[in-house]
Amino acid sequence: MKVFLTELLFVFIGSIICILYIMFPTPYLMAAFIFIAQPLFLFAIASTIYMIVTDLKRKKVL
Amino acid sequence: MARKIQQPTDNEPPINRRHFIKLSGGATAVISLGLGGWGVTEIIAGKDPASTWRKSVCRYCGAGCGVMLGMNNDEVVRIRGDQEAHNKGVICIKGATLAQLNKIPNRLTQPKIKKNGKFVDATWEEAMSLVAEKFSSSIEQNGPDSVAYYGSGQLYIEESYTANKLFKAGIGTNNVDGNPRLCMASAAVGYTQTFGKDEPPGCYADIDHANLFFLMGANMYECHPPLWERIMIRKKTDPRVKIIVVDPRKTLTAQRADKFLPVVPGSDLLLLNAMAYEIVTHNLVDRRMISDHISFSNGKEKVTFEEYQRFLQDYTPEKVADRLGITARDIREVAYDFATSGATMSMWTMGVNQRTQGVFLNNCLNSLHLLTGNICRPGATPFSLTGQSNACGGVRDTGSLAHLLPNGRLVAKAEHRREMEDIWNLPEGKINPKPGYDAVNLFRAMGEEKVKAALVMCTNPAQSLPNLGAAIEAMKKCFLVVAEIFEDTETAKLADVLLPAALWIEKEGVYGQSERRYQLIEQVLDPPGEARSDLDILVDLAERLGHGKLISAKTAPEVWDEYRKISAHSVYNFEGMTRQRLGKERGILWPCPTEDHPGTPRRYTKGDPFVEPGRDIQFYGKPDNRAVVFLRPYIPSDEQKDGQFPIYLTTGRVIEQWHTGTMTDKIPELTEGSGPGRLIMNPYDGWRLGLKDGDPIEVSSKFGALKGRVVFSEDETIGVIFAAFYDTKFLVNKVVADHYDPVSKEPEYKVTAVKVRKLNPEEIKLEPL
Amino acid sequence: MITKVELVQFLGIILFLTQFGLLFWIFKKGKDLLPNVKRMAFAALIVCPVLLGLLGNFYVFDHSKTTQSCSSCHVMKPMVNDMQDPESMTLAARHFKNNWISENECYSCHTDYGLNGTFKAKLDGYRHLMRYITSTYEEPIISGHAFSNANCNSCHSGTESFESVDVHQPLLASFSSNEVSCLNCHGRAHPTRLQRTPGSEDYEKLMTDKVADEKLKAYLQSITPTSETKPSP
Repeated sequence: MKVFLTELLFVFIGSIICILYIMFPTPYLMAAFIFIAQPLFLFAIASTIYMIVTDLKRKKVL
Repeated sequence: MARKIQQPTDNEPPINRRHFIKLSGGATAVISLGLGGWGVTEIIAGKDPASTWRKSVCRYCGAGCGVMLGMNNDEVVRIRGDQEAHNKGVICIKGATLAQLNKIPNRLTQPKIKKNGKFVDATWEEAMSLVAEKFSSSIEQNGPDSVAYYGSGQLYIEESYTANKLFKAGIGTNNVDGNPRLCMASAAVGYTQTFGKDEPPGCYADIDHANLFFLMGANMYECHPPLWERIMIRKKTDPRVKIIVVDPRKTLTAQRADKFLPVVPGSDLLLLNAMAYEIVTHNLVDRRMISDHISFSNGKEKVTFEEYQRFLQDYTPEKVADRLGITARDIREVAYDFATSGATMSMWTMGVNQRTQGVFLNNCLNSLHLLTGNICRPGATPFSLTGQSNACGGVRDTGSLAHLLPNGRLVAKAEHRREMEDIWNLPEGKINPKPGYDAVNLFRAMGEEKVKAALVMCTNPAQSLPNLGAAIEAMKKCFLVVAEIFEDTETAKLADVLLPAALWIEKEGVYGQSERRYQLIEQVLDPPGEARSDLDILVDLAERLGHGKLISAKTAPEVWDEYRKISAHSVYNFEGMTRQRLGKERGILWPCPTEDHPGTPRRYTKGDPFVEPGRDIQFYGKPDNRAVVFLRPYIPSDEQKDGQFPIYLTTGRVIEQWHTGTMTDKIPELTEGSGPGRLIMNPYDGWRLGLKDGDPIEVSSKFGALKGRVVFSEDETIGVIFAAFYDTKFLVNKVVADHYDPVSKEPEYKVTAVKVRKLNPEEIKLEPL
Repeated sequence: MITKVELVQFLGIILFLTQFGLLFWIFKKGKDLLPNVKRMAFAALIVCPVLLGLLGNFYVFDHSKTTQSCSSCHVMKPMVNDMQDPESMTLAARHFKNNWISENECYSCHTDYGLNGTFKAKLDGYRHLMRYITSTYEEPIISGHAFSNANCNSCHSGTESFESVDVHQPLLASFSSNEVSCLNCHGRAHPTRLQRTPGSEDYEKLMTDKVADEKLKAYLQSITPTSETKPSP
């Protein structure tokens, strides 16, 4: 299975909310961007960084 | 943030369960982040410094603005204009600092009795029994007319009504007068003569519809700032709106006018008659108005329109221009604008009222509106502004003046006395048929020891009366009971008994401002120390004088109910204004006969419950339903400048201070803004008199003298000195003449001939500006 | 001429498509943490979301400056419609009518919500948004805190019209502490709570869009010469 499945999914949903908001701004999409898309991005970014960093550490690159 | 997850290894294939855990964990994290973010915004949301807001009414001027009191732990912490009230949220600098008013230190909190020239603390029992004893013995020995009540346009309606009833119906003297005599008696008489009933026909909302504002003797920018703001709002909504200001001084109001006519003090009746001449001569009159709704009178009998035209021949612009100090062209322009604007609203205050021709001026202003049909329509109305918060509702409407009885009745009219005797359940003939002493003569009578004991409430005559030196001497001869909030006012110093009074929101009552709107002020705070409401003091005095049965309504709601029901016997009828309604609504304009009546913004026209159905206009105050246009000749004031007294002194107010400054003078922002009292003159006059800006001078008239600092300003008209009367260290009223209007008895504060002498620095110590 | 909004939308689409491509690649190939997968993941799951997030936030602050954005919440309609009403006398309407505020009218006065405003105001904006979309509010809406004088100052401070009014001077400290509000003397800015209460006399009118535009249109039509009224050459 995919290593980044969760992150992929989160970023994908976040990006869709984001582009929808930018194209068709409404209060609901704005809230969705701020309170859903951004946390999704945040989680995905943090999780990806964590995975990459621990992997690099494990491989003694870092 | 991210869960600790086990690292996938090359030989260990990722499993679905792990993804599921990560996914659900991630979703939980995301949801908590979203909700948490929202939570954070809720937690740090800006908090209002006030926990509750309560509606009230400003304590100060006759504009009667609605204010919101921001309360926190029984303390007023913020003041805002009430957006739902008639003033649409606009208040002024004085109102904006109201939160400090009830926190001013050194309030009078205990009754005091003067012994050997010094105040000694007393109990209410001691103080009131002394007062009752002095009043009783004076009534017994010298008759009821040897006592008097001098009230205020700042007491609540309930208080003025009770005082009036106690003295006129109980004690049996008409010696009930008050400071409104000094500010709007001429307007009251003017309206009554012209329309048959007192109080303006229009309302503040007319400002929103007027095309021309004709402001005469009114410095609205400083004295009624929220109303001035409303004019400016009207002008900014429609730049075609025009403002004309007639004033001897280039006031802050005049500086913002489209046209400013700086007339010679005391001459403006000439202007009004000349405008009438222009309007009549050039047929700018409303013919239908003249044929259906107006009659003409010379003050004694009815005359014809032709006679009115002949009368105006003496007032052609050319004949009067020089005496007015303006040009004939100015007069023509103003007359034309007045008649043709479509909707002209006149507003005036003390510059018109405080004059020996005050009533005539009021008549003439009303006449211009009648002649041009600028009345009974939105934006078209003659509107007299009131100086005090409750002079209209509390004093004019309750009839708390020496010649009046409640709701527009006159002491001198037998049928009016009889009506009130019926209503108050008095024996026939109980009400004295002789009007009492008006303000100026009341204090003269104290000097002549005809009035031996007097109760003064909520006003400061020892600073506000004209020819003040004589008035102060007179007060010293009288047994003076003063209900006050501070011990250090000029009047309190002269008291024999000082009674601590509750202030503003420390008591409950109704205020009625300039436009006939009655508004309730609820009690929000407790009075400090032993202070009591003026109503409590009056009720107590009534009991002690044996009139407890007459004054049966003893609390503010009870008095309001009694008075409300009494009003139903008149065209003031506001029976529909229950206390409950006033608690909910932002004031109501009378007439308001029933509880479902919305109130009457414009009188004498459709919407007024007293206008017969089917009529457009009906001046029902007059038996023939016709308002009167009077032929009012110009009679020069007794105060004329001459070789000995070559300059006119005129007095007034400043925006930061209210009246004698008893309250506003103790609020730092306001005193910082106003600075100490000073004499202001045009630099040209200064040069003629050999003065420099800031020199100490003495101004003296036939009545008295005042030392102070002169300040030059090009906004003053040449030949006129101005001084405001708020500063206790600068009692300008000592210089002011006490001539008064023969009908309204309102003194002429605005015109006093004076001379100026430069002082040596050692003759006076000046406060820094 | 390309507008700011169009530029943001264009960049957004480019970013979104790039993102989409990268995600697809990882979805297909990202079975293990190989170096190339890590590089792609860095681009797709870190760089692109950061850029999209930045773009979105810029858009939040920039687009929400527009009056159109404000009026997209129906509780704000009375404010906007009243402002555009040529007969209204509110402070907002006078600013609008006299062209004192020419674009982004709401933000001209509510400056603290903008990019240069305070962090607190922005968070408050988010709070209003959440309340709105979750329907956890009541009409008429009531501002929980006082309008800051700093908003007024951002234009009026130091101007002749402010400085020439002597009574402003003793109040300067009270203005900066917001103890005395500018609105105390200069009037209500928007329709009152009573007017904004559903079912009130004025509510329908206040909720009707583009009062100004319709009136303006009618007016323009009335003064535009038609074929009949046009003088023949």
